[in-house]
Amino acid sequence: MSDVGSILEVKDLCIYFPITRGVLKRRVGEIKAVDEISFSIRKQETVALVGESGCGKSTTVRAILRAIEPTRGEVIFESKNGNRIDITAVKESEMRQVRREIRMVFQDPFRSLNPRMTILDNVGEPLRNYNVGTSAERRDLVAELLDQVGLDANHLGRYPHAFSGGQRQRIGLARALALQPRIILADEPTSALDVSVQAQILNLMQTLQDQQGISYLFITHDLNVVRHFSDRSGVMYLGKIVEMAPTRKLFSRPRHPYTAALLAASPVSHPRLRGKRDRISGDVPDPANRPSGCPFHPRCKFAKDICKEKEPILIQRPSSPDHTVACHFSEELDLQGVEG
Amino acid sequence: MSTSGDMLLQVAGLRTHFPLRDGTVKAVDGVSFSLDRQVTVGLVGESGCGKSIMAQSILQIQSWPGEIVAGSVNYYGNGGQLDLAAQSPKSKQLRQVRGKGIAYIHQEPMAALSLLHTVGSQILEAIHVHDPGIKKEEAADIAVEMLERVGIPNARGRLDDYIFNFSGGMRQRVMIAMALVNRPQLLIADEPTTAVDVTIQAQILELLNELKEQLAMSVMIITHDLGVIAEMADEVMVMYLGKIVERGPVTEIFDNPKHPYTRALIESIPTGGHERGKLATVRGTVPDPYSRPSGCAFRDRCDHVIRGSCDERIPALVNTAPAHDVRCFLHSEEVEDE
Repeated sequence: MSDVGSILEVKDLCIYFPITRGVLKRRVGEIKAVDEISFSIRKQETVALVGESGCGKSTTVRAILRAIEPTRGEVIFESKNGNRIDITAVKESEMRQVRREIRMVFQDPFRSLNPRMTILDNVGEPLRNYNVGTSAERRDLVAELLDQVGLDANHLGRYPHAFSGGQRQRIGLARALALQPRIILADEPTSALDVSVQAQILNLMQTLQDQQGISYLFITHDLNVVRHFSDRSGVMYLGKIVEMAPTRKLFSRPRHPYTAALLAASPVSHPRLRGKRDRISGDVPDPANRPSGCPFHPRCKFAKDICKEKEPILIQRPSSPDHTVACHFSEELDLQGVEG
Repeated sequence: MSTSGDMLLQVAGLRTHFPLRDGTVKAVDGVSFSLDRQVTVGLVGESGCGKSIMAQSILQIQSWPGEIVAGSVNYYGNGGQLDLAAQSPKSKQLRQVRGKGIAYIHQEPMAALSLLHTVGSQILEAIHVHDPGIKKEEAADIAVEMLERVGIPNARGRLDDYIFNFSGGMRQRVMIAMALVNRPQLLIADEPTTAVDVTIQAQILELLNELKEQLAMSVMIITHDLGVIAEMADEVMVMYLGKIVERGPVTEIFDNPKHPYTRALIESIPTGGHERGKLATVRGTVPDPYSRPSGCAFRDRCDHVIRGSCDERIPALVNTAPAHDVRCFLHSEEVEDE
């Protein structure tokens, strides 16, 4: 499934956490937080991972930078100088270079900045860590970065508390951009923001992508944001990708009942579109007690006996190879998408 | 907006101010509206617009040192009339309305419920406060009935559980059940779904709609998400810096938004239609309460400023179409009396 032109390729990534019991920490089982997921990101592409809390999307992102050690699988990254390396196998010294080219933006702009450091220091910290320029040069660079993200460069000496949520997210972006990364991993970057401010941040991220050719891996639970922002999207459920396709295909004609359920759950954009839609009942199951067969079957209204027994694998749709889905009945169900 | 027989709540000229060291924050600055029985009103605006303080002021549960400095909050429950704003925050009259007449639910169940007491004991306490003579078994029956109604499986068995034993969606349901055990006539839900996933959000909103019908209550839903408004509300009030800037029936507001702020809020919802185009945004952010612009509070972020008007005088909230009011000089030159 090697993808030509991809700069990041996640192959069969697994992240299992042990469940231990007793003083001796006897291993009694494991939580499959992420289970054999694969996807790739091309240059200047935005790929979104969508799903409810606990589906493993944030864990996936953290494993890419080895903030969590993956249990199995490969993460192939093509760095700026053209080398392709497996991030899961490299030494810590090489990780330094990887972390220079893959940066993160976090959900909570109130906690991801150091409150005791000025904006100059917060944004300039990565530059200092990688010994970029002299102190004066770094100062100019930070001022330039702030300008790029739409903040007043005169505010260098202020502390994070003096900024609003949206402004702090801009600072977070400036910090991520400081080392001119190839990829930015954005974990729910707009979930803590008002809708109006969210729109500003999404526009900014788009402009930065157009100007600098950055790729984004975008994590969110908000399908409206995905639909607007991403080129390709994967839907995750209990550690698995259950459907992945170009965003427009995914939204207009979902093939997995869970994707359709997520679409039906999103609030309407106009009161006239109100009305009974197919809701799914229940919560996401505890990942320590995965349902047998298809993990979605207890909440799926189309579930048949085979779904309880046999877990479907993610396969390419015969008629459109860029659309993969893991459902026994994906070709038979007529699921409803959204227009547009 | 209503005939008097149907009216449940009438707020007039409400002002809640916070005297702070650096000056007075006018969090609620002259809000008037009325709310009928069995109507869902959506209160929308960005963070810092005073939505929550306004709703909390109705019950005088706003945080210290906020106090109501002017206005009235007439509550027409059970045939009588009571001006809630005129009562002392600790008065018996107000305590009787809280929970029993008007219930308030918070965004975050883990913060609103005690971690040290079982869910059952907290719900029973809520019943006991308003009905001290009630037998424990009877109260337990009421609690179980309400938990079942909000969709908690095995409700009787779960009375002895603690709030952290419940999943996110179930916590929200427990909180709603607790708010409803005394059959309030108005439920104020403050961002009830901001902290939950979309599938849970859909379930909770549907539940609130069902309960509203079953219990014949009114609902005030506070949110910054116009999608929630589009799903739930019959009427909409848009707040900006302590004032209502537009209000009207929900379809009218979405079809024909008049205030530039409302329009921008609606356009900033991402939908697929833009096709990688730029989203419309409201420029800048809500100004901090000490540097509120003169004249129309929104003018710094507005693309349609009329010089000589918007920067000097405050527009009045004026009726421009049936039941549709807007506070903007583009639509009426009427000035608010100070």
